[in-house]
Amino acid sequence: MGEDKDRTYNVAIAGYGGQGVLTAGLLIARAGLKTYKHVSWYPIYETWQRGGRVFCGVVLSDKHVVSPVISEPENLLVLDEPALDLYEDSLINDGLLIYNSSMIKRKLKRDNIKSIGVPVTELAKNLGAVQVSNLVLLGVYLKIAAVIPIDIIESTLEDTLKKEKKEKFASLNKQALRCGFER
Amino acid sequence: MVEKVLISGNEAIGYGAIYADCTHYFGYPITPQNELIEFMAREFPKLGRTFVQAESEFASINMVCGAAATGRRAMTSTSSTAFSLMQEGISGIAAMELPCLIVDVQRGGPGAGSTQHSQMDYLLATRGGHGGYKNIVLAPFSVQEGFELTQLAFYLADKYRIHVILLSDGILGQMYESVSLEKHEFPSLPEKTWAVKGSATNNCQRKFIHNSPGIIGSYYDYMKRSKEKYDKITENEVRYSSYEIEDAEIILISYGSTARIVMEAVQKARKEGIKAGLFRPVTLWPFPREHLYKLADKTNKFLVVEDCMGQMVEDVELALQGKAKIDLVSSLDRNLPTGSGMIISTKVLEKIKNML
Repeated sequence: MGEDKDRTYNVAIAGYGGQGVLTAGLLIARAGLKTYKHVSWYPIYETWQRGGRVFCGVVLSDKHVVSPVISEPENLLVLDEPALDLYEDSLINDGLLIYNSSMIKRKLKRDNIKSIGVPVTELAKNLGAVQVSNLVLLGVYLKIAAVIPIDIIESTLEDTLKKEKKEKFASLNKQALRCGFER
Repeated sequence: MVEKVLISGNEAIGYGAIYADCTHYFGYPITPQNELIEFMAREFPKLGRTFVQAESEFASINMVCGAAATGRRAMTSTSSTAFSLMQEGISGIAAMELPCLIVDVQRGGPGAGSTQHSQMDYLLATRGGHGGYKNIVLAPFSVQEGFELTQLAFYLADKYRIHVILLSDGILGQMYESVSLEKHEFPSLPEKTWAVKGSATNNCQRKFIHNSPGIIGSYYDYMKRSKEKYDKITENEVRYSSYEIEDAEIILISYGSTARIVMEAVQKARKEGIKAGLFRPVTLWPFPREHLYKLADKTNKFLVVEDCMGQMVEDVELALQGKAKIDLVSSLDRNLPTGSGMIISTKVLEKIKNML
């Protein structure tokens, strides 16, 4: 990190409404602003709040972001099976797929990608709250892709929770991140 | 140091309004521009400015009319369905020649259409309601530009005493980008001697602004003055930008968020050795006709990309005057059949290849 001056990364996250897809993406984008010159975040979600398809794309770059709408993600984090059905094909060849093996039981269609399944729902349940499974998944991604140092993500997370007056959840959220990162 | 923030395209317009010293906002909630009215509800009262959530969009446009008539910088924001509802008020504002800003964050239509993005209001924004008036239409393609063009909009509105429409869209409104918040300085403007400020000002002289130019006063004078104004704007205020256009053999034309997707398609084409470039109108009215016409000397292949069934393509046809072949990537080329379907760069690249 930091040596390549023309860094550009994109990551897409997909799942259903209520899984924290957008929140996880915004966290990467907010933390990304501290280490990259340009950042974009773009959400797609259906009109209802819970249960609908949710997707977001984040671009981190030292140059101007060309398109915030990611048609072919380099990195794809998937929280449930319908999301995998929708987006598996879009991942670039040799792209990275991290998926929630607690909710995705089928075999992957693609064999020209790097993939890793982590039971993030179960891991989050073990921590005491299924709501933090998005952060477990994010932790796994940060460990493998190393696009942003984990401490910057942690401090951004703390700031965000403080702003939203949800400081009491900071320790659980950080625990979830670390759980994915250190496994 | 300039403050850098991560904000949505909708909020950026709010910041732009604050930096442009807009004092009055009137609006009514509608997706996908809700972050803007929410921002205004939160920030305007803190600054001692006026925020009103009106009872309807019909009311909010007429409140804008009232505030603008007193010489204040006023604005409203809405989305397609309700932009329709505002047309009568906008036509009245055109008759009264009131400077103000109307933001349309386009969603799908017709009717209630969808709550998601589209670019289906191009003709409505550039051609307007009854009476054949003109208005400046600015189309940002990034969150940063949304912030900047909002400031420009208020300046141009006051400079020409005309209303300005900022044409955004659901993608641009919802997405977040890093933005440098910097106040733009513009040349000084003449005093609004026409404004209705009450008879306590202007040496007790009463002012009157009305929307019936063909009933009160000389209709001819109104039309002549308007025509001269429109000509002056067309001469001086055309704005556009281009990307990889110098040696381009295929020129893509696109505005708003779709232009970003096209930029990616141009990059992909270039990687495959195809000389593609993007021409992006920033002012949709006045449309950069002459500039586009000149490009037809270089190539005869043009591809319009817009998320509707073909509206801007009509302006492109007028500009090129039959000199070149024009193809279209439209809403029919979206990746999904639902309201959240969008035109993606791989599809645009496919169309580029078909033109070779």
